[in-house]
Amino acid sequence: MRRQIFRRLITPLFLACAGIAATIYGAWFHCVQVIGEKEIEETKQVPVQPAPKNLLAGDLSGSSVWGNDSSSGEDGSGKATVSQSEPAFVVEKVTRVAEVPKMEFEPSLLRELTVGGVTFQAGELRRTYRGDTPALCPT
Amino acid sequence: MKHSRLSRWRIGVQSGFLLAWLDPFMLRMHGFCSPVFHCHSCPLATLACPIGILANCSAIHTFPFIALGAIVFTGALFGSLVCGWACPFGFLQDLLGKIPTPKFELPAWAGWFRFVVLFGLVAGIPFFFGEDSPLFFCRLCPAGAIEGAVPSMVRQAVTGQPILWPSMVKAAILVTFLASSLFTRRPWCTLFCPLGAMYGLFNHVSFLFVRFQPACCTDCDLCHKTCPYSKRSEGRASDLRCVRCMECMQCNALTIGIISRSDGAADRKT
Repeated sequence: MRRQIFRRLITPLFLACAGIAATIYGAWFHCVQVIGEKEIEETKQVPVQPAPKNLLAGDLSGSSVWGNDSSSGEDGSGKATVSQSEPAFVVEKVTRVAEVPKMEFEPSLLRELTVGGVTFQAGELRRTYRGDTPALCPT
Repeated sequence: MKHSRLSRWRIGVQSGFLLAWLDPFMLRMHGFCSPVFHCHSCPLATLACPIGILANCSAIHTFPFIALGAIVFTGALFGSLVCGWACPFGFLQDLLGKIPTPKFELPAWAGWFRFVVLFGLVAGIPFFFGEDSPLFFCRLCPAGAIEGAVPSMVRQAVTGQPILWPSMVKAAILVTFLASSLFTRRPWCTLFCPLGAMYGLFNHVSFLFVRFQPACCTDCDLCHKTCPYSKRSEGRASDLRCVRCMECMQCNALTIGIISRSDGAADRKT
């Protein structure tokens, strides 16, 4: 009799509670790290090659390759000084891909799994897409 | 042959559950699992397929708390009742089984192959080889072919998108099981269903069970004739292959039991 009661009441009750507990834990507490990729735009200052130096020495009487250049002055000896232009920078936009880890709770992880959005690579969970979520399960 | 009072309701209940799984309110709650075999690739799927989630979680080496919790909870309450009354793929096989063709019985030991599918194709192959393996369960699943691939192809055709055909292997498996359903009852459930394998284990301990009363038995063999698996009534309450369709309850010796009500010799038999 006791065995009957145990089998028919306690066991299914325990299993039902275990099922509820597992579902609640999975829905509200269980989360895993998923690494995604994100394109990041950055601005960089890229140095430009400086202008070539004027190698011609001698009596140029203040004249330079570029014509009368007030920056190249005479040093009094009649010889022109070497003109050096300052290095220039160009601002460029560079796009790079960065890994972005994110903690996902199990319900959102399951939604990603149903469309093949997560895969296991080298011991890590990685998102298989960048941008819009896939629409269909790949199988 | 008269129907039991309960089995008369079965088609209606199965139809009602089918509508529920087809997302009538467009909820698409794929973050949670249904307790039945219904592919989440179906454009109308309300919930995720528990077997698909188990396989995918095995592939990503993550423990599936939600899917297992849903299976354990449902199994503890009803056992394999969901197979006989709620599963849409089982419903399809039941409808095909009603076509008057000669029916053959499958051997009793064939049901153990479901556990090979469960531990092999659902758990083992994805865990060791990932979801890209050709033996990954979802790549072979006939329920996925008919509930996911076919509606998706229809939607793609209607919206003018390029049509993604299911693999030839998947289509061949689907055709094989649909054709088999004409000649044997519930071939998928008997031979391959991993979800039915799990629910069958709960038949020993679920709240709801089938009670056999030997005092009422007249050895008429009615239970043998009406049962899709042709199992003897004595072993029915804990039969791993029983889908609790209640067809056997045309006989008065078999009734539904809930939790525990001591019935002397009958309970000793179960």
